[in-house]
Amino acid sequence: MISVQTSDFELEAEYTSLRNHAGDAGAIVMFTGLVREICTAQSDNPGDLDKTERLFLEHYPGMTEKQLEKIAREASERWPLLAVRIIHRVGELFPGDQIVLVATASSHRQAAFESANFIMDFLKSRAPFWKKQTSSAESRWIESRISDVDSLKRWRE
Amino acid sequence: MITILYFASIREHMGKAKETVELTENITTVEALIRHLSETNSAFNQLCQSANSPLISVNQVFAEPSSPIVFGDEVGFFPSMTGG
Repeated sequence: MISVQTSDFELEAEYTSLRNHAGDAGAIVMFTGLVREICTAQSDNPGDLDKTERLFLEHYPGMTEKQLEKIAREASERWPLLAVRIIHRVGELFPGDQIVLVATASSHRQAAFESANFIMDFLKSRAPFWKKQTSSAESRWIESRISDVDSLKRWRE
Repeated sequence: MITILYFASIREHMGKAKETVELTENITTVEALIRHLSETNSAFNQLCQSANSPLISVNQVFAEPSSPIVFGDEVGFFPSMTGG
């Protein structure tokens, strides 16, 4: 199940819900992404560190959900998953806020771990979300990382 | 007529989130649409000259320059994605 929302999410409630949908699961993996105060996405130079005051998450309503559904479907085709849950927040967020949840349930841990990793890798580069970072100095759109695109290559067979 | 949507840094650069374009018989592909927009809008032309050319979707699916465009389509232009 896919949700794109401004509101926060409760890990325990999501875990309980996923468990109820997952039947006889032997493994549940939950990944939570958080907004960091120190953001180095724009530069690899440690001297360029800039403290995030807030983030604004823009997305493409409609296409976002379609892409997330597609990524979840692809994961379900590669691994024997019993349930998948993706939540991505949009709008204004602050350091320490939860931004994304990816949870997968399977009979065995390897499938749950790998599929959650796969979903996150594709979500970062193939779902239409954009982050704008505001620091004390400026507001700027965060640029994509080459490493994020490279990390998709390991899933090609 | 088609609808064009701009997102994130590209929306700010274009100064608008949305516009509509009348389809002529020359505009049958994404590539032709880009040519048309570059000729009629200097901000869009500037965008195409930059190192990070926009990603494109047609009807909310990733598209290529050769992808067809027909009446009623929704075309999106946006920068590389940075979710997660």
